[in-house]
Order: sequence, then C-alpha cells, then structure tokens
Amino acid sequence: MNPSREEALFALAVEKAAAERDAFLDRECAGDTGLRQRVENLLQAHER
Amino acid sequence: MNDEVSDVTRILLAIEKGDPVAADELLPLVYHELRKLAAHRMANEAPGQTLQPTALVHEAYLRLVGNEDKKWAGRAHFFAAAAEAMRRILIDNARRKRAQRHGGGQQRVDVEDVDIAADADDEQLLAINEALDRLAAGDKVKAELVKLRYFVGMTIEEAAQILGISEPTAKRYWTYARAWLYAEINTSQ
Repeated sequence: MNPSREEALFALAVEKAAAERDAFLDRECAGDTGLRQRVENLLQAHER
Repeated sequence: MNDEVSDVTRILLAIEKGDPVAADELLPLVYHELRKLAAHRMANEAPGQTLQPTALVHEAYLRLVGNEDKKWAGRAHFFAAAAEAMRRILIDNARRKRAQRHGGGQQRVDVEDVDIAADADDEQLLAINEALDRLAAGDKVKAELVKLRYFVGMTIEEAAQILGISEPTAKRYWTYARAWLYAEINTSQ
C-alpha cells in the first residue's frame, strides 16, 4: 500500500464535483480496487 | 518566578538542545498544571459551565513559561505536551463518565472531576483516541495536528504556526486526517 498516493488522490478527488469523481477515480486507480476502496472510504467519511 | 516556571523553561531549553529525556519530564508537569487550573476554574464557575481547553492551555503556558514569545521554538514543544496532556484529561473524563453510566447507581463524585468542552460526545472521543494512535504510527505530524485541533480546540492558523507548517498544508493535512480517522472508526466498528 502506498499511503501518499492514497492521500494525494483523496486531496484531488475532494476538490472535484461528486459527478466527476467516479471517472477521476476510474482513471487514476486503473484497476487497483484496494486503492480505490480506500479513497472512497475516505471520501465517504469526509462527506458525513 | 516560582520553581515550576524555571523547571518548565529549563526542560524546554533541554529539549531544544536535543535532550531526549527532557520531553518525558515535560508532560507530567504540564498535565499537573492543567488539572490544577481546571479544578480551580471549576470551583469558581457557576454549575453547568464548561471550560474551554484552548483558554486553559494558553493560561498554563503563561503560568509555566511566561510571556507568549511567538518565535520561540520551545513554544512548539510546550503545546505538543499540552495537547497530549489535554487528550489524557479528556479521555480520563470520558472513561469515568462511561463507567458511571455502565456501573449504574450513584458513585462518589471525584472532586477533581472537571467538565471541559470537547468537540465530540464521549463515545466518539474514545473511538478517535484509539484511531489516533494508529494514525500517529504512520504520520506523526498529522496526529499532532489532530491533537492540537481536536483536544485543545486550536484553529488551523494556530496549529500551523505551532507545527511550523503553512496554513494551506495544515488545512490539507486536517481534511485528510479527519477523514482517515472517521474511516478508520467506521471500519473497526
């Protein structure tokens, strides 16, 4: 696992409109489902 | 100056010179002062009042160190210790209240029981406390930032200044750390 990548993606995704996030994460995570899940967990925690 | 003032100043200078033992000496002194101040304040407040941790910590600094020299590096060490001390005080309080609820019945009221304003309810405080140790293991600066923000109630600006990082960096760290902690709590429950 690469925490700095996770952190960087989170910081970028947070700035994006919700509608753009999926496409952004699709592109950036490129099939790394573990990374994608962790970033999504962070986004969800951020939104609550 | 009383003895405690010179003690704390001496310890802060030793920490700055790189004495690794000095940091361990600082925490109990700051913890003791904060408890003493809080108890004193509680005794003089109307019932139901809560104390503001930021005010307590700044008052402790003035009492133990003296004037607020904003450029002095020792300041950062003091506030780091104060944040840890405040964390312990808040967690002890939350645990005691939980024990009273779960134990049922009236228990002896601790004269030192203090009511300090926290950003969260007791259960959340305890959950964050545990997750914070895991955050600290991977990222010390973010954990320090959380302690200053969450347990002392500092603003981003104040915390950034103490940690020697820029405000935008502190803001980014805070956003990430807070999300990380909540995500950690969600998955461990």
